[in-house]
This record gives sequence, structure tokens and C-alpha cells, in this order.
Amino acid sequence: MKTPKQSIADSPESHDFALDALLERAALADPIDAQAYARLEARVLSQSLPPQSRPFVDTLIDSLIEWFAPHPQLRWRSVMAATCPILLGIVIGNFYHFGVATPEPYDALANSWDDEFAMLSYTEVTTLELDSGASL
Amino acid sequence: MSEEELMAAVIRGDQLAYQTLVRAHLPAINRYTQRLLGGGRDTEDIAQETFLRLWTTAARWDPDKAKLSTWLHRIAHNLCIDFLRKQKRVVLTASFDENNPIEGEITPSSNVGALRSAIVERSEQQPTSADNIEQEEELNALHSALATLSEAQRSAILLCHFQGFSNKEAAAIMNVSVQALESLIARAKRGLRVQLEATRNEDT
Repeated sequence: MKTPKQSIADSPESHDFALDALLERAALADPIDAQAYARLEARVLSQSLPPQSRPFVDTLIDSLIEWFAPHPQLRWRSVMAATCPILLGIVIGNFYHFGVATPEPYDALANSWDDEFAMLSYTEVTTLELDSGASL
Repeated sequence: MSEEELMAAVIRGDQLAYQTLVRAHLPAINRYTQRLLGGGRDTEDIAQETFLRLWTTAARWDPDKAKLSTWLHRIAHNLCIDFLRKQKRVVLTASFDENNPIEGEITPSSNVGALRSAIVERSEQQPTSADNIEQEEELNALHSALATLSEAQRSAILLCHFQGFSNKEAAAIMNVSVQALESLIARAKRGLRVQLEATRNEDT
């Protein structure tokens, strides 16, 4: 029977099979130092563990990041995450004006319509008079 | 109890559930870190840190994305890679300061050296019948050849051939594509064949 080492040297076709067999044998034959392992297990089991409860803010941030992170089946979440800044801007802009003057509401303007019409009527009369004078 | 139930208990702070998970997964994690780094105190530190991360970040494990063993191997793998990078940085700093590595300092080949010393220790522990000696020589040659591979190639071989992960799982652990992993394995095997044949030629 050929040993894996001999097979590796024999023919290129058998290289992978022989090497795989050798790797498999190495994986099975790898011994474990029971004493060292027992020491390591005791060390891991006895290590002091920090408290599990985390601040609410940390948990919330982690949950948000996890929720927004791209998942192959849930691409809409990434799209929604991308639109968050503009949505936030709309909401904030609706309540705060940051010192920027905005036009008066329609109702406020409606109260001065009479004055506006009166002013317009003067303008029209003047214009008509000028036009009639010119035509004469 | 299933692993999902145990992890839910760990999130609630149940130390018994943590101990159950340690007993179930420590052997595999210990083997992986030992095979990748060659044993020693640092290997034990990394295994310990892996399970501390299990405790502190248990809520981040998503059973739909990965098995618990895959997730733990990924943590251990990242810790090993960080450790190896730090080693390289120490060597670079030392060589800039002194133009030579400081005596007793970590050297570029210290990782390979640790693996080799592990192989020597291993060979000294084995039985000595004629067949066993020949088989042990083959295995020692294989382990020596593994020690000469790059970390990425060695990780790929260890995960797929020693730890029993599928290519997809191993790629997830190493954070590479399956194609990249297959390429790493192919190059690693080519390197191993060359090394093994060189060893055989030296023997004859």
C-alpha cells in the first residue's frame, strides 16, 4: 500500500488526493495536551465577567445600526436610512425658522385686500387718464 | 437547551449558560488558535479573549446569519490576525531603532518558530514503532510545511481541512469571498506539495 508521501511524488493527478488524505490524517492525529487544556478551561471559566446590562443608549445605537445596516433581503431599510436626513430636515424646518423671514400666511394678506384694491384702482384711473390724454 | 436558548440566557447574564457554551466550543477554538499561532501563553490569551467577547457581545450574534461555532471562529480568527499584525509592528519598530531586532524581542520568524517548536514537542510525545515513526515523519513534514505558509493560506487550510468548515463558512470566518478562499486553498496546497517534495528529496 502506498503511503501518502509516496503518492504525492508519484503522479501529479494523485497530488490532491494524497495531500487531502495526509491533511485528514493530520487533523485526526493532532493530539491535545490534556493538562494544558484543563488549565485553559479553568482559566476561561473562572475569568471575571463584566456585568451584562449595558446603558440604554448603547443598546439603542447598536440596534439602530444593526437595523439600518444593509441586508441582502431588506434593501428598503438602506434606502430609508439614506432618506433620513431629508426627512429630519423637513420636520425640523417645519417648526424652526432659524431667523429666516417667511412670507405671511394667506389669511393675514386677505385682511389687506381692500387696501390693495384701493391702491390698484388709483393706478388704473391714473393710467386711463394718461391714455385718454395721449389719444386726444 | 439549544445554542439559541443558551445565547439568550447569556444575554440575560446567566453564567451557567456561558459555562455550557465554553465547554462546548473551547476545544475547537483552542485547537484553531494553537494551529494558527503555535501554542503558548498568547494562544491561551486569545482563546480567553474570544469567550470574553462571547459574553460581552452575545447580543450581536444572529443565528440566521451564522452558526455559533462560525461566529466564534471569526472572533478568534480576527484576534489572531490582530496579534500577528502587532507582532510585525513590534519587529518593524525594533529594526528601525536598532537596525536589528532587539535580543529577546519578537522576530519576524517567531510565529514560524513557535509552530516549529510545537512540532518538535509533538514529535517527542509520539510512540516509536517503525510504522508510527514513518507516519510521524510525514505528519511532521506536513506541519513544517504548514508553518511556512502565509497566515491567510494557513487559515484557509486549517479551517477547511482541520476544523471541518465548508468553503462558505471558512470564507465567512476569514471575511473573504468563496472564490478568494478557493484561490488561497489552491495556492496553499501548491506550496505544501513543493515543501513536502523538497523534504522527501532531502531525506533520500
